[in-house]
Amino acid sequence: MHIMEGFLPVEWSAFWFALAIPFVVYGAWKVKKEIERDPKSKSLLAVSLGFIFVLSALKLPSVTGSCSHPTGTGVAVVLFGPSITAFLSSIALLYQALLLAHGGITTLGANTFSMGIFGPIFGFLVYKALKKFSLSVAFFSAAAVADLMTYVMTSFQLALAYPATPGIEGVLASAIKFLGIFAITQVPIAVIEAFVALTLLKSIKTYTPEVSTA
Amino acid sequence: MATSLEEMSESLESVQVNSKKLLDGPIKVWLVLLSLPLILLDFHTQLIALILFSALSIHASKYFFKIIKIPFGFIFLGILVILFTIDGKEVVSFYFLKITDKSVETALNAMLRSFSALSAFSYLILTTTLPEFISAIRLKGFVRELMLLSYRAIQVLLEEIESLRISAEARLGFFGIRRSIKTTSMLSYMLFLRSFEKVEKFERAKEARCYAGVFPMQKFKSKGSVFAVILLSLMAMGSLI
Repeated sequence: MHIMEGFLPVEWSAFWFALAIPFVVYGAWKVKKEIERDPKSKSLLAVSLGFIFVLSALKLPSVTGSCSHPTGTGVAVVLFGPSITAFLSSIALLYQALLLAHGGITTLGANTFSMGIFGPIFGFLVYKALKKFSLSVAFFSAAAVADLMTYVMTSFQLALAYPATPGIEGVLASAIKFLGIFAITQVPIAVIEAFVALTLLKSIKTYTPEVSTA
Repeated sequence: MATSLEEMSESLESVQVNSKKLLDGPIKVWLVLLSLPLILLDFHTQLIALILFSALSIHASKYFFKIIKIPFGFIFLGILVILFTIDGKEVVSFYFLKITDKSVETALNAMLRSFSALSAFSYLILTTTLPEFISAIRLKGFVRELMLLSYRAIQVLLEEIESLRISAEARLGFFGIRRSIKTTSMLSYMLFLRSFEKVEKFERAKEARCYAGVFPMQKFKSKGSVFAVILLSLMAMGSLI
């Protein structure tokens, strides 16, 4: 779920930029090291980025009829790990803004933090925790959790910018309302995307075992 | 599955190339990038920017009305929540929902700011292709290279997924939700495999052209600098009022 251009007041867009930048820079540094180690990985990373973008731009069969699409970050984090995902999704989000008019430039920091950092980190933790028991369950939950945490984070970002009353209680009251209204579209998407991610990752694991997962 | 993605992004690209540009080149990108923070900061600037950039965008291309449809739903829902959430002196109430003086004020503020920023942003996306954007913000090194390479990859992969999607649809692959989900997963895996093929081809194509780490790019010239300065000072004046 993207926060649209101009929806956040200036102090909050600056705040989320400040929070997202360290993760993205660390991811960029890791990518740079990877490229220096093996120059051929440049093409691999570029195509992966393209893959994430196209995957995230893929229209899902939607229940509510709204414009819904997967974030693709659940798959990305299982394949590349959280730091590279942070870097790749910040670029993918910029592309989504400039090529599809989803999201925006002043809200890029907030969107990167929710979709590229916060959601994927939780997805990754769940994946790591469940990997030992069942790979299928781990794939499914990684994508579902990455999606759901992204949506929870976005609702909190909106609630922080527009609290019901000043103070923590007001933020929580707002957050509940934002969570409620966006649940209509986001929860079905998370489940559907988790199914898609499960089949995708399982196919990758079965038919292309040379591709390693994180 | 009525509108296809490739169509959407491709038509946006053709719009970007064919739109009427009063301003062009790096100056246009910087005008929008500098205006956006000004717009977020001040009420008068928002009014001025909304009028100026909407006029510029409509002049640039009729596609403007299509583009703003996507963010509208989000803004509408967000404003609705703000309207019924923020506490203050009650103005109207139905059952458990109440609108207060503060919530109306905040909602109107958020709406004006969103529309104003959106008009500036849509002028940028209506007139600027991605390589032009990258060249204007003067990215250097591996980030720039990665972005240009992946931009190329996106176009190739979009074409790829579109042909896959059409053949799946011809076989009734999107008939019903369960089947749609299955088809989408199969499509995404096929796309994944094809991406890997593309990596090999990319490498070979780059080597065949003696690629040495610098992606060639067109130079873009600025046009309408005076106009840009006038626009920017108008907006800056707004914030001083």
